[in-house]
Amino acid sequence: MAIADIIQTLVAHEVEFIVVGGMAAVLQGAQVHTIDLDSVYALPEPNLARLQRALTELGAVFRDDPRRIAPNRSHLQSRGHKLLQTKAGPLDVLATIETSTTFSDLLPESDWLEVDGARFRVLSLARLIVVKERLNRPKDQAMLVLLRATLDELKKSGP
Amino acid sequence: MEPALTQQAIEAQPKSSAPPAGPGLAGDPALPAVYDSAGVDRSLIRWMLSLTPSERLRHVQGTIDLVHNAKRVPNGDR
Repeated sequence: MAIADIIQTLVAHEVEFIVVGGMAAVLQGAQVHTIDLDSVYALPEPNLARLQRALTELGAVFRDDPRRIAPNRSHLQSRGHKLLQTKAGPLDVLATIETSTTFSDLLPESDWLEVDGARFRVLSLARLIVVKERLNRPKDQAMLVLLRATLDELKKSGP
Repeated sequence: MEPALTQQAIEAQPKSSAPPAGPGLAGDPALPAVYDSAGVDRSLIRWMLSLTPSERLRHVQGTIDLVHNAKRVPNGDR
């Protein structure tokens, strides 16, 4: 099981989500190191049901909690970050990023990608840079240098 | 001015599936610059951009698997 399996499972369950964070950067060509998948999901109830079914199939439980609690509907309705461990690897499901930015807010700034036949959205490199600039933590500063260089190379190479 | 590479750094460069070398290694001014002013290796970025999203994901997964499967070798087994 691998990161691709998490994406395939979310897509198979028709979950509306946008990949953000380091994996979104990697998928768009940035040389950053990450081992987890961060995703922002749509908040309407039908999507929460689809997400919960996908998480059940992935065997998701809260990471670093010895009780191995599976996320329930109430957890998914909350705006907090759900940091999960699945049988395919770490998966963070986020209702919002920044202060209160939702899936709907990010939608116009996302792009479609395809991996092994599965189509899904990733946050654009330009918007990822804005997210990292706002966070302004030391680890984000390090990634920012690489994201900006990648965007620069993309612009040079044309559409 | 490109930073000089030590022999150790040259030997540490990825082999086989690695991106092509730039002037820092080949000394050819006709090739695009490898390091930018922030010290970022642009040749690695250009190599990543040459891959498809699936290939990029497989590359990352390969790194994760390598780290996951790496085990310390006891002194007596070296």
